[in-house]
Amino acid sequence: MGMGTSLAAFLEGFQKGDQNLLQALEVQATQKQKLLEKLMEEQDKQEGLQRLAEEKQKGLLEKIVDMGVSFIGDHGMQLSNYGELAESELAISKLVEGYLKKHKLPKNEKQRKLARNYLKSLSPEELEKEVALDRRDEGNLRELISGNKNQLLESSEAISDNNKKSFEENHPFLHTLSQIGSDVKDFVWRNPFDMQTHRDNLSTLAKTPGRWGKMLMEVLGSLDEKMQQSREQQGMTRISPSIKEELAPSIEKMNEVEGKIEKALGSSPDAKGQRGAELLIDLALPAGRVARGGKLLPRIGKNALTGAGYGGAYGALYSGGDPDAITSSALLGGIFHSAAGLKGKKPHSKKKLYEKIAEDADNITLEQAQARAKILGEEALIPEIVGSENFINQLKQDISKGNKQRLREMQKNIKQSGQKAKGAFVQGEQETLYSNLTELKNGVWKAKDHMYDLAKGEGYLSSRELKEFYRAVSEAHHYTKGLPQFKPRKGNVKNSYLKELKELIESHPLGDNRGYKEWYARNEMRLPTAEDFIEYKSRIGKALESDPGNNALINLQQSMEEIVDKTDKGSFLTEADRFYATHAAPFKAKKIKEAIHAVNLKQLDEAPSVTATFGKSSPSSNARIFRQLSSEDKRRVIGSLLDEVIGGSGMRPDRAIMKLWKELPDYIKKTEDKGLQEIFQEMQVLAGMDKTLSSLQQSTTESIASRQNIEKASRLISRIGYASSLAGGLKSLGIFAGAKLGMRAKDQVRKKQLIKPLKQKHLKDYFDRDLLEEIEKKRRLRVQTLTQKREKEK
Amino acid sequence: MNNYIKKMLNGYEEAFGEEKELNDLAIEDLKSGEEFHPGKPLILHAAYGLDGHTKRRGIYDGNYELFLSPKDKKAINQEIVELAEMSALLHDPSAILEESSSPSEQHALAREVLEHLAEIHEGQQPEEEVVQEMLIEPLVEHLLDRIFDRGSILYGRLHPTMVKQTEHTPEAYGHLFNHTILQGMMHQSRKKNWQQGLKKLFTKMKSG
Repeated sequence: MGMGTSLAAFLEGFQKGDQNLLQALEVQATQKQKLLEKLMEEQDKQEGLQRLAEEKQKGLLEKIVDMGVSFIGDHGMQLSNYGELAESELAISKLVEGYLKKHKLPKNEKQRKLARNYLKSLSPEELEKEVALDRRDEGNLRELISGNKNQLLESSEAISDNNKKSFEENHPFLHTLSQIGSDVKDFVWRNPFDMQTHRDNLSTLAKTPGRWGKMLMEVLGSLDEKMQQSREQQGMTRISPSIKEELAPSIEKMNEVEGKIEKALGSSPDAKGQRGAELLIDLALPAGRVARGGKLLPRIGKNALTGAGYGGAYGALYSGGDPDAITSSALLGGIFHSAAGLKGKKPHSKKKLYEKIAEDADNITLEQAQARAKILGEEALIPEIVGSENFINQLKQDISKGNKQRLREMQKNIKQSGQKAKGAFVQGEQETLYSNLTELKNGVWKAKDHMYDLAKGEGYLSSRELKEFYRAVSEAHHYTKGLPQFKPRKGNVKNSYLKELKELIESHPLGDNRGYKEWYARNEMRLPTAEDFIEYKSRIGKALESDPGNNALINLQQSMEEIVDKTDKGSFLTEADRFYATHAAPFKAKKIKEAIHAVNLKQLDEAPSVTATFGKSSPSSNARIFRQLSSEDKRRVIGSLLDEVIGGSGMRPDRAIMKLWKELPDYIKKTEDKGLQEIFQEMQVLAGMDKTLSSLQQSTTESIASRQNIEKASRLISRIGYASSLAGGLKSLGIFAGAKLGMRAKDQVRKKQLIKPLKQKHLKDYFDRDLLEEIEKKRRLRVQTLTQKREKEK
Repeated sequence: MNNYIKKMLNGYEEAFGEEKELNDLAIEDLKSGEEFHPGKPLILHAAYGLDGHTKRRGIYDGNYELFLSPKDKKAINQEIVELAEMSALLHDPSAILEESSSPSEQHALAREVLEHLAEIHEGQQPEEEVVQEMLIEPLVEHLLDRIFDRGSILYGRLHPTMVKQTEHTPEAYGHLFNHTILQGMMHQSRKKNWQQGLKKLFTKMKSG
């Protein structure tokens, strides 16, 4: 399995929650390690890199042989004896490999060249002695060697030179075209999965005037889609190959002959070229459409047809427009792409290269890997470097992080690296947009985490606090019956409940991570929260007042004190406890909730502002959320909105209510909550007095009117609950709506900032100026005539 | 305005007969909004196209409804309606001379040019090349410039929004969207429409 695939599988596995994949990865890592060791014995890394570099430099002809482009056949390059050439090339390479094998020489390019030269000087008999041949090749090669040894070793250059020459002389225009095509194809072949390159090549072709260009645009469209699919499948973005630089000479040539192409296809059409172009259009068009439509055929079919499009395009370039050649190219292209789609694999030779890079990357640090990726250029894939076993192992070792946290880190890391790599070829605006999006996403995650912690229950106990609390209660329960309840609706402490609680606590491992919080939130109904804890402490205190000699209760109280003492200062529990003792305890027990709210509020500095939250998002979703709030929370929302209106300006409450009523969205005004409806009626009346008030302000009765309004507003405010539960209002708003809506609003604002102002030309600028002037003159004349006519009538 | 969008969708359906059900969906989308935004069906039309049309309508509906503010929706709609109108004008010349109580600026301009051409040719139908050069080409250029304007609200706001929570890129969406808009302009029937339409129009203008 290639590294890219394994990483994608790893991520996917995590998303599905399948941890077995980790084990599978371990096994895979071990296998890879073994493979690596084996490879390391054979050749060192430097040689490997050198070989890579040399492979890049291979000649065009060898590339064609590697490609097995037999479908080009007699067309295009006019390699009439192409089969022979391929055969002899194969024979030579087998001889060379056989020689290296027999003499146990390192298999690098240098040795191969030396071997090749050496073998040239040998007689057939000597050759047989010097070369170790595979049994299956023995017969054929022996025949070749004994048949015509000299031609064999000289053949490739000779054949290609002859063909090139005759083709060049007979078809100068097609020769240029096919050379360009071969350059492009050569590059594409070396980067078979680099869709960006395909796209660039095609867009260059699409610049060709006439029908070619238009139709190629269709293929481009499907390619765009395919590029995205490919990126997603591989879970990464490719490191940028220096496409432009590498293709620059070809593109330049292409531009030069652009006019010639038009001429050839247009005014003095080369019959072959014309037919080829027609056929290409027929092939490319349906391919593009079907690929885009996506509905008619499954992915494989799409691959095949898109492939056929490319195949046809290249075929046309190579064959000089021979329809048969184009068809066969298209067919092969289709088969190749559908096969790639079926297997989800890269071609064999490419895969090996990738594997090697991946294995190399495992033994080096990330920085080194990145440095290497630079050297390797387009061959290096990000997951192969970032998602190496080393990286995964590092994450695995850090057990304090939850799975999701790890996943996020991996994704973040990959994204960051992707961003860096992308920077090379994604320009300006797009780059900013993507990085901002990443940043925003991270921001949302962070805020969501924070909100999540506060949202569930009334604060959670840490795993240590929870365990110790449970231990203290169960111990006390052992010595005294009838302990008061510490979980609402759970009744007094019973054996069955304690047993259930014990099982629950043991069901989750230690560690105050996000996973723990999620688990806590899920079991909130059964687990004691911080609120329960503080309330319980006060109950035990009260129970002790009526039964001062109860040792079990004394011990329990002490244990609970200790739990609070051990907790870090400034933590949720200590803060809530302190607040309760100083502010809430002197009042009724229900004030505990407010104590908790107050602490939450203190920790909620990051909460988005209320108006931003409820004013800048889609009304339908706001309405939905508002509907879901309890009656009390709805009142708090209104209270908070009121507070927003007042702000730091110290606006008079009656004024504030008037303003609020005007700004209050309809979905709040039209609530079915009866209690709220009453309040709204009064608000409406108060708001209706605004006009009266304005007029009265001019008169001497101003103070009286104001006082009335203020009194009315004060009564209303106390009914809304604003004064008493502003803290709770902010908090509840933050909890129920804030994180999601607030971040969305922020997102929108950020996005808006990204949009550049339009710099469109006016439609008039596109029309002929003289024409417009004439029209304008005529219009003036018409107006003039009309005016004169009217004057006459008068 | 609504007519142009309808023409656009019909044009698309005509070009891709197998996607007829999309039109039915588009009509649903048109009805579903809180406010009337004729551009919405086109927006979702392109979005479904990314996933083989019907698989994840919910996501795209949600993206449109939740992530676009009313102000955004309005601005985007305005932009789309103008583009759609331009594409429709290019698709059929009778749209240019269509009576409208409050024609848009581009509609009015196109009409004026066409009438002017008729006048300077003394009621005779001008050469196709003349119409092509004087009217069609400027309109096409303007439409293309607008449609590929990277700074437009479509690129900046709509395209990224519509692909949230999907594996697609804003570019992929943008491509499909542009394609949908350009259908009217690019469809084969355009040439026929113009040849026949011009003839009819000029005959009518001459007799009128």
